[in-house]
Amino acid sequence: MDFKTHADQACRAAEEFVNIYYDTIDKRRRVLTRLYLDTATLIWNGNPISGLNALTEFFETLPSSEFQISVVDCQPVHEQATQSQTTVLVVTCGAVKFDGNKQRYFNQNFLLTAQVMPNSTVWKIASDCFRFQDWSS
Amino acid sequence: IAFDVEAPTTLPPCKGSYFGSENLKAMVLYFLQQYYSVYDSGDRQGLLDAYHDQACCSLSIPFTSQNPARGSMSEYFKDSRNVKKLKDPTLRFRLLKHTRLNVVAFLNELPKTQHDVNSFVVDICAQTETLLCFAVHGVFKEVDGKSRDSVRAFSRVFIAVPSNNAARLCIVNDKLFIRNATTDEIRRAFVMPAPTPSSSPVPTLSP
Repeated sequence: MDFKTHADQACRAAEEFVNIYYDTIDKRRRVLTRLYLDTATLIWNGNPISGLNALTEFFETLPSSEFQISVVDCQPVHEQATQSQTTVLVVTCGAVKFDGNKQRYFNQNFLLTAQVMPNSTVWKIASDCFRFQDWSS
Repeated sequence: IAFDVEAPTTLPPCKGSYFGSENLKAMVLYFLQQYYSVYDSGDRQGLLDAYHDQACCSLSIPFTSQNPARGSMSEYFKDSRNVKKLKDPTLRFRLLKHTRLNVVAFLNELPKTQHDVNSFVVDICAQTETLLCFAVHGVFKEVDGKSRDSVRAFSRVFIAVPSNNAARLCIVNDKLFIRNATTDEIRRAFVMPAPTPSSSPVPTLSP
């Protein structure tokens, strides 16, 4: 595949992913961890959380949310970094209102990897890094 | 009889930089110190050494500026790649800079800057034998052009691979997000020494 094909594929995966991810975290939180690899890591405002059990527990304690995404960008990750496992960097920016809290702006980035199954390809989150823009206030 | 089924409203406390290990911390802080000393030097050609031949880079700014009255972001607008708004595949592809020469030429055209390294907060997002992905958040000011002295905030994600010289990092992906700084960020920018805003120590890039 040439770079253009990789870049187009990254955009398709990123657009679809962003719709599904934020809809799921807002409305179907209990199935959110299905989007993560078993070995996925989340760094949430400097707090590291890794593995599905810890992620499930973390998302249960996180207040319900209303995300609004305003910026999405993506890049195909170079194969030398991923040992040829198709991977996309997805970067988002937007605002989130957690129940009982004021609305805040945030930046988030994900590494998505394509898990090739016999009959389909499923994209999963390998890493997730989230930070409020005003995290220190 | 009481039942505790109230939904949570308390957020986990926010913390400073996450490095994972002292080794990674030293490596990434050294990289950032070197990288931004060249980036802010007035000539970014020297960054050629930091990038992989097939590196790619893109920039985005907020769709609507959060405070358009303070400092226009117009210098960045033409390069902003936001696939949520830009649906034209040709334009999307043109805004994704690819190969080392194009990436550095692109960075060289951006306004000249001075970064406040004391403002930096770093998160190591992912690490494998072949990949290091980290996010850097902080503020800088523009030091020339029509927005001279405007303070901006940035959030940047680098993905690097080990270079031939294993102690160094070689960037394969670079994703830069720039916005206007908030009043609070402007107030705290370039104040030495940097205040410690959280229980975790703020990283300092001085040796």
